[in-house]
Formats: sequence, structure tokens, C-alpha cells
Amino acid sequence: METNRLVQQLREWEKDIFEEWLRRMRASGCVNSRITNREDFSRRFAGVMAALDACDQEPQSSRPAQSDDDRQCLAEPLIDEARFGRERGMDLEFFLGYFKTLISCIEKRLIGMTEALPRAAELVLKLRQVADFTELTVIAGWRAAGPDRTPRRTLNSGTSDKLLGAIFMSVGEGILLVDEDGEIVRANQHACEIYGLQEQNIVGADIRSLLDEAGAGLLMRYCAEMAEGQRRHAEVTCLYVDGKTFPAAVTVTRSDLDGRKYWSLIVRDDTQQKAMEKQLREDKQQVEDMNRTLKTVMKSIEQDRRDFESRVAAKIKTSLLPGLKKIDAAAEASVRKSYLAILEEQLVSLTAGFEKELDPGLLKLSRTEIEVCRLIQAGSSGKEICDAMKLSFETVQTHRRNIRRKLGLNGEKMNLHAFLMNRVL
Amino acid sequence: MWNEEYDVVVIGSGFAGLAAAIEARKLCSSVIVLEKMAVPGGNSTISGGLFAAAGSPLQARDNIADSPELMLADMLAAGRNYNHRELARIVAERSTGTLLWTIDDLGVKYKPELSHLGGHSVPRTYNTANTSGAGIIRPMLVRCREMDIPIRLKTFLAGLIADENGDVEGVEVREDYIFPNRESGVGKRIRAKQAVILATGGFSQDKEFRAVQNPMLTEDIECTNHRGATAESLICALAAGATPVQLSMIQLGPWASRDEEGFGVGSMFSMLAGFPYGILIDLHTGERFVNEQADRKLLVDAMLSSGRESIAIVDEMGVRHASTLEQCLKRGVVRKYNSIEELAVANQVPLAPLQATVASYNTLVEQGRDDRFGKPIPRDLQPLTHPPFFCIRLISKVHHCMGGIRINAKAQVIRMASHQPIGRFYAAGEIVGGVHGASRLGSNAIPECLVFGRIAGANAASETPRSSI
Ligand SMILES: Cc1cc2nc3c(=O)[nH]c(=O)nc-3n(C[C@H](O)[C@H](O)[C@H](O)COP(=O)(O)OP(=O)(O)OC[C@H]3O[C@@H](n4cnc5c(N)ncnc54)[C@H](O)[C@@H]3O)c2cc1C
Repeated sequence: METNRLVQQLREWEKDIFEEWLRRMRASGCVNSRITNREDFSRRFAGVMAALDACDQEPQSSRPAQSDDDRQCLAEPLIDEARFGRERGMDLEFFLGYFKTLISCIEKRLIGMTEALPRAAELVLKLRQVADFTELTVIAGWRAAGPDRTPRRTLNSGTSDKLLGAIFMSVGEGILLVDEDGEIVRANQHACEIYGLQEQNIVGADIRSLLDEAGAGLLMRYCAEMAEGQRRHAEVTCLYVDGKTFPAAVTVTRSDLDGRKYWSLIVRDDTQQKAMEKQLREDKQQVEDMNRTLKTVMKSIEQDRRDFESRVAAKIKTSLLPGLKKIDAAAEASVRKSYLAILEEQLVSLTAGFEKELDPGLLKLSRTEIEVCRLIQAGSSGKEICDAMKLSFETVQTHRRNIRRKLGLNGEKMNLHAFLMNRVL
Repeated sequence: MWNEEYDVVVIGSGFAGLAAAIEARKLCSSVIVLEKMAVPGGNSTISGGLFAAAGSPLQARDNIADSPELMLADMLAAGRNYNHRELARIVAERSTGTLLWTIDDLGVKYKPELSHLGGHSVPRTYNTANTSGAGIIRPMLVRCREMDIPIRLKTFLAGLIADENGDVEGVEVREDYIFPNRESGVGKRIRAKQAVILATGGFSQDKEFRAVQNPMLTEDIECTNHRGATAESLICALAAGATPVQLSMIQLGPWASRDEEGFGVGSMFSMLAGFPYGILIDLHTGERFVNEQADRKLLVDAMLSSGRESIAIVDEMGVRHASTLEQCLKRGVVRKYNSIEELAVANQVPLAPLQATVASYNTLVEQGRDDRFGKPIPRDLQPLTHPPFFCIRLISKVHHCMGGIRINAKAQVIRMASHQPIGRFYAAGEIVGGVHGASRLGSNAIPECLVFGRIAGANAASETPRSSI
């Protein structure tokens, strides 16, 4: 399915998504008819859809928007919404909750579209980018307007800014606040969960202890180079408490407070996303492989057809024509019948795809010998053959010898039963 | 009827639960650990990582004479003989073996120096290298991963399920549980073919339940524990017939800081430096009032009486033992003063009595005389003469539940009605009552949890398996 069709589909589901969203908002005790009404929801939902549409029109649609400008453009309608919400007295915590829940409901729908997986997965990635960017911008905007309303407080005084607290705790991504010593001074609930650590363990820890060496190096470099207010993005490998590693996307922002530098890190466990990307790559690879295989198959079918034709011609010459002559020469009706039966089956097998081998040797056999062969093929023992044909053991043995000779099996290790198994009699 | 089945089901991912799981997994093929919180480790991972062991290698190196008998005697003295002696003896006897297991088997790193904690006759406390219980919990979690023991987070024990004979057959849980919302999550029944091990820790954070047991512990008293230290699993065990033991014996920590929440970084400062190498004084009088190295019960009782407000003071020499000093200073939990005068002004302590207190304490130490409060004066103790001085403001916080359910030496839970074990039901760690009696000595919980966790794990996995369904 094309991306725009997917977005269209999402639009059609708006009502369901709204209901799901409302249910979840209600579950977290965040329902307020003034703010959680359908009308506002529709507008915000439309904003997200518009951003997704815009993604699709970018020339390099499979790549993330590279510059902040691009992203700014995508997130614009949503940021407007945040402004709107704030003017109506929504607090930041609430807006983020509102917005995260909305994104998560849409995401759930997309992930559920298994039949459109590669596209849907791409769209999920885009959705997250839009969400990340919107969030960051909204948080920054909210904070910028903060100081007039909230008194300044130092961060290291044990109790810290209520506003920061709200941001920290409500956001559905992990957030870590790191000071100049590389020490984590705050961590939200989600960050604790990502790393499997309690707040008491994560606060006070060195940020580097949560990353592998390469990631720690990269992050430290970013932090050192970064100017106030700047933002950077890195993909790194992190460590879970039990030593397991996982891929993570980190967005770092430097913000100076009370003359001290702080870096806020938004961390997202990318295990799922990476798995999706891998799935996407694998899907692509698979399609390519299939194309290649298909071409080879077509070629070999063509070849097979030619082989087949020449084999049929040869068989007719070597087995069927002599058979016909034999029938012509045969005096006895029953012998003719037997030869006819062989011929008939061989003709059938010619077109039935050669599951069973034609053996010109079979046409050399006498009627009695064919009878003996049939019994052998059916798995009868020597004694059973004697009984069935009312022949002495010696006679049957003679027949066996002759059959072997005519079939060219003399001196071969091949057992007669096995040889006859795949032959048409 | 059952959604899943394992040989052994462990509830709780602290010291006791993980030790049990690791031992059990050596003897059976499927073990699962269920944990209600979103992260593993409970109180264990935020603990100070202090580990008491009698007859340890560091004691041998430092020529400190110690024995399990001496450790047991200390436990009984602090516990006012309320201890279930057999259980306490097992902890003392196995303390060093278990310490060595953490070193040799799990690769836990300890600092090369012992600490002398209050109530212990001798220095016998190891410190993890990172000054935290996480130094033990992390290697245990790594081991669980290596041994294929899943730790299922956000899974809440809602009830124990008995079979027709009254033996425990499984547990009722809520998966995708979001603490503390009891309605959250989805119900599920998990069967244990061999046994269930309860290792859900204490209930210090359960303000309602603890006030029922000890009405003096009102809601406004702070707590050092992780948020999940609540009583519901204890209640499940009692409902299943377990015997309650000394539930009202709830310990307060005398060393916690007034200037931060919970255990923080200040508690370790007091425990490792403030109390052993410094003095504890009452702000209002500027005088000492207790043996700083007494057990916690004595300390707290003294601190809470007659409206005292306490601070601990240590000088530059003593402060070297404080492994969390840097963070304490950074967070403003410990403050630094260039002189006793400066300290007195900043903390509003009457100066003259404070100076007198310091002077008489110093004479005591220099002359090696007996302290009237009974503080042991070891030979290496230094007088408080080297500025700068460091000071922490203290407040007692609820810390540990000595009470819990009754087990026997095999860690089997004992049925209240029959005094006999409840079949296929084990418990270990802080959920168990009786080991420490009326007061637990610092650094004795880790050995207790690990010793009985391992006993419970090995015994649970030796039960004859029920047939699969
Ligand atoms: C801050 C602090 C510092 C300490 N420092 C030391 C020290 O240095 N040395 C020492 O010896 N002792 C110390 N102690 C005491 C010691 O850490 C604890 O007694 C010990 O960790 C208890 O271990 P546990 O395994 O029994 O319980 P915990 O480690 O608390 O683990 C129990 C787990 O069970 C889970 N749980 C509870 N109920 C349920 C349920 N219904 N369903 C599912 N899961 C559930 C909990 O969430 C928890 O994760 C300290 C305690 C604290 C709080």
C-alpha cells in the first residue's frame, strides 16, 4: 500500500482512534470535557496527518528529515496546537500526555496493519520523528516562557523546579539531565525503565556508565562541542542493568541554568524500531532475491522446454517405434495386449512429466517375464511368484536371470525389485 | 485453568529472590522471577551494599578475631533475644561462605577495607566497590540472564493458589501491572511444578499497614525504602496460612539526612564516618547523648526522646571513610566548615557547650578512657582536631521490617494452624520474620537474604515435580 493510502486509511479510522485515545486518557485520569473534546482532537489529529502527508512529499521520503528546518515544517501545525492549548490553560504535562497518547494510538493502528508492513513501519518511524520534534519544540517553548511565572531555583538543592519535574515525569521517552561532571542529576520514570534502574541508582551515576564505550565517547564529544540551546541527535548502544545491550536514539540539548551547564538527553529504546528497520531491509532484500530467482527460473523453464522436446523426440524414436513394430509382429493377442498396455502407459508418462522412467529394455521382455516383473514389483516373494504362476522355482529363477539380462542388469548390484519400483509395466 | 507452568516460581527480584532463582535453576530446568515494579532489584539494589561476614579474609588480613558465635551473640544482643535463634545462627555461620560465593561465583567487587558498624563487636562489614547493593544485584541479574531465568517485570502477586492437599500449587498474578494501581494489569495463573518461593521484602513503605502494627509510625515519618515495599504479599502469605512473626518490630534508621529524601547519600556518610569516627550531638544542648556506635534501636530511641534534633560531626581525618562524601557535598546533604565556631553558628548550636563536648570527647579518645555512653574507643580512633569539620543533619526514617512470616531452617513457610511446613512453599529475605529480633544490625540483611535465598532455591528445586498438565 502506498503511504498516502495508509494516511487516508488512518483518516478513515479517526473515530476509532479518538475512542481509543479517550479511553486511555480516561484510564490515566486525564479527562476534562473542556480540553478533551472531539473538535480539538480532530484538529490535532489532522495536524499529525498533515505532517505525515508532508513527509511523503519529501523527495527522499525514506530518509529522516535532515535539518531542523525540515522538521520544523512538519511539526508546525502541531506546535501551533500546543500554543493554542497553552493559551487555554493546558499545562505542559497535560499537553504532552495528550499528545503522546494520540501518537501512541496512531502508532498502534499502524503496527496493526501487518498486510502493509514495510510501508506502515516506515510511517511509524516518520510519525516518531514528527512526535519527537514537536515535543522538543513544545518543551523548549514552554520552558522559554517559564521564568516569568515560576521562581528560579537551583537544581542541586534537592527539591527542584516543579516545571522541570512535570516535563521529566510525564514524557513517554526517557529523559536524563546531566551536569558538567557527567553526573546524572535527574531521571524520569521512563529512563529508569529503559535502563532497568531505580531512580536512586540512576541519579548520581555517571552518564557514561549507561552506554558502551563508543557511545560514551560520541556523547561526551557532542556535549563538549555543543553551544547553549543547540540540539544534536545520536544513535548509540546502551546497557541494560543485566548487561544486555540495546540500540537507542539520543537527542541532546544543552541548556544553561544558573550559570551551570546542563544537558538534557531524550533517550529512546530503539530495539523495536531497529527490528522494524531490519524487517524493512529484509523485506526489500527478499523482494530483490525473489526477482532474481524468478528470472533464473524463467530462463531454466525455457531451457527445460527445449530439453523436453528433444527428449520426447528421442524417446519416440528409441522406445515407442520399436514397440509398435513388436506389436505388429506379435502373433498372440494377449502378448499384443501386454505390449499395448506398456506403450499406452509410456505414452501417458511422456506427457505426465517423467515421474517414472521409460525403459526401452522393458519392451524386450516376454509376456511371462512381464508377468514375473509385475509380481516382483508388487513385492511378492519367490515362493509367492511360483504359486501365483504355477511355475517351479527353477523356472522362475531362469525368468529372473533373463529379465536381468534383457534389462542390462547383469553384473550390476541393483536389485530387481528396486529397479522395477520406478518403472511402468 | 493454568496459563503457564514452571518448575519453580520466585516472587520478588531482590537479593533473596535472585539468590533463590540462581540456586534453583542449577537443579531444575525452568525458573521464573516475577516482579511487580517496572525495574528489578527492590530495596536490594538501592541498599548500601554493606555485608557483614564473620571470619572473613579481610578480618584475617587485619588480625581481627571473629567467629560466627560472636556474630550470633551480637545479633541476639541487638535483637534483645527476640531472635529466632536457629535462623540467626544459620546466617552467622554461613555469612563468610556466602560472601565468598558473591566474590568467586558472581564476581562481586568489594573495597579492600572493612567497616565497623554500630552494634557489631568488631569490624566485619564489607563494602561493595560502588557503595551500593547494585554492586551485587547487577552481577546477579547478569547471571540470571546467562542462566535463562526470565525476570518478568510489572507482574504483581495477587494470591497464592493451594491444591486439594493444601500445598501451594501456583500463584495468581496481574501482568502489565502499573504500580501502585491495584486494578491495573491482566489476571493470570502460573503453576509451579515444584514450589513457590516468596521473596517480596518488607513493608516499610506501607503507611497504613505499618501504623496498624506500630501506631507510633505515623504517616508523616519518612522512609528509606523503594516505593514498592508494601504489605500485600505478606497478606497473601498470611491468607495462605503462614505464621506471622513480630510484625510490629519495624526499624528506623538513625543515620538518614533531613536534607534529602529516602536513604539518599547521607545515610552512608553517617554510617561509615559520622557515627564511628565522629560525634552525635543534640542541636539544642550541644551535647552528646548516646553511644554513636550503638545498635539502631538504641540510637533511634535516644534521638527521638525529649524533642532532640541531632547532627553528626566528623573532622577531616574521619571523613576519609565516607565513600559518598563528594555527592553529599554536591547535594548539600553534608556541609563543610572551617572551624567548630563556624559550624555552631551555621547550625545554631550553642557554641560553648559544643566546644566543651568536643574537648571532652577528644580527651577521652586521646587517653583511651571509657566513654560514659559506652562508645567503644578503638586504638585507631582519632580525636576531632583536624579542620575542616563536616556536619550532617539527621532525622530517623522507617527502614527495615524485622517481622514477617515464619520459616524453618530449610526456608519452608510454617503453617500457623499446625506448626508444620506448608507444602511446596518457601520464603526468604525481609519477608521472613524472627532472624533479627527487635533490632537488625547494619549490614546483616544482605547475608540473611542471600543465605536463606540460596537455601530456599536449592530446597524448592529438590521437591518432587508434579506431573505436567
Ligand atoms: C536504602 C536501604 C539501604 C540498605 N542498606 C543495607 C546494607 O547496606 N546492608 C544490609 O545488609 N542491608 C541493607 N538494607 C536492608 C536490605 O537491603 C534489605 O533488607 C534487602 O534488600 C531485602 O531484600 P529482599 O530480597 O528480601 O527484598 P527486596 O530487595 O525489597 O525485593 C523484594 C522485591 O519483591 C517485589 N514485590 C513486593 N511485593 C510484590 C508483589 N505483590 N508481587 C510481585 N513482586 C513484589 C518488590 O517490588 C521488590 O522488588 C538496606 C535497605 C534499604 C532500604
